[in-house]
Amino acid sequence: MNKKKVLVGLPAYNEGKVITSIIKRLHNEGFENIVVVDDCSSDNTSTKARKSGADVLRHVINRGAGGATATIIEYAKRKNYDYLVLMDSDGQHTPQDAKKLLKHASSYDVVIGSRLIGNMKNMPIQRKIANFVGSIVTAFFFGEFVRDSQSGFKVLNKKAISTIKISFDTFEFCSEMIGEIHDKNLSFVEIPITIKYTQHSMNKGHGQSILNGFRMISRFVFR
Amino acid sequence: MEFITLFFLALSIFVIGYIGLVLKSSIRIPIFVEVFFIGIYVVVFLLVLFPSLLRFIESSLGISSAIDFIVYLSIFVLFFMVFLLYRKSEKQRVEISKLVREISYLRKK
Repeated sequence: MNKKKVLVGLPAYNEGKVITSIIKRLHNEGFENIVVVDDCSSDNTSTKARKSGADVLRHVINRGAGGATATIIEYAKRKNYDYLVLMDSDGQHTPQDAKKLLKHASSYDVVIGSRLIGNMKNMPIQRKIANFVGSIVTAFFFGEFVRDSQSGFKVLNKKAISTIKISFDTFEFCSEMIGEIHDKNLSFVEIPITIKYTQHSMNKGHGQSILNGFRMISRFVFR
Repeated sequence: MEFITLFFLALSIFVIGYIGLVLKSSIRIPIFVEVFFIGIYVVVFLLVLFPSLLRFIESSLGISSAIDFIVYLSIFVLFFMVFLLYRKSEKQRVEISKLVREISYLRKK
């Protein structure tokens, strides 16, 4: 696959400590087009990302992971990319897995990197429970059961880039994307990925608390 | 006149006056919203001043307690207003996100 047509999108919030190494690893794997959406970080995320050779879009107000991801999708659409790789910018996802997901992107509209297929030994138990509950809630509200509905690691083809619309600004956007896949009749597949849980990524937590779970349900009810 | 009656009368007059001042400012509010909010406190003012109106409401509507009816109706209306406000704030959140997105593209150029 010609990587010139592939955009890697990294939604980032206060990732100054790790963003350089992530961009470097992506470059080493041959990914040339990288866009970082700095969601109004208070650290030097933008500067470091720019110096590392990535395009940087900076939000003037913090909107959350969903808002930043929507900015990336819109950017890919405007720049006419064929494929968009969405990855977390805390170092959990590997460029090797991005290549693995891309191999399936010509056959499916959306390729979801699943943490819940295959080896889950290194996943903390609270994450397993949160992800499972998230998938059940997503299936209930959006009519599509995906094993790892809360995964932020995805590859979208041109059709998916142009049709998926995200309106939720925070972590609920993952479920909303599954709903969009269902509503727009997009084909998808889940491919196992390896997650690297670092101290940095664990500290960030990704909002998977019980309180956030209730908040997510209430927002789906009133959407 | 009892203290509690005077208290509610003073409170109603204060709130009606305050709403009137807000409405006279540069912030434009739809006319039905103005009528609704002033109307609520005019009703409170009248009920405090003329408690016999409660008997009239009870006999007109065929209910045993007009106060209970007003409390239940108020709760119903308040919850519905909270819902409307929630919808409105969500709509504004989406609009703000669009704006933030456009600014980020413009600054990139």
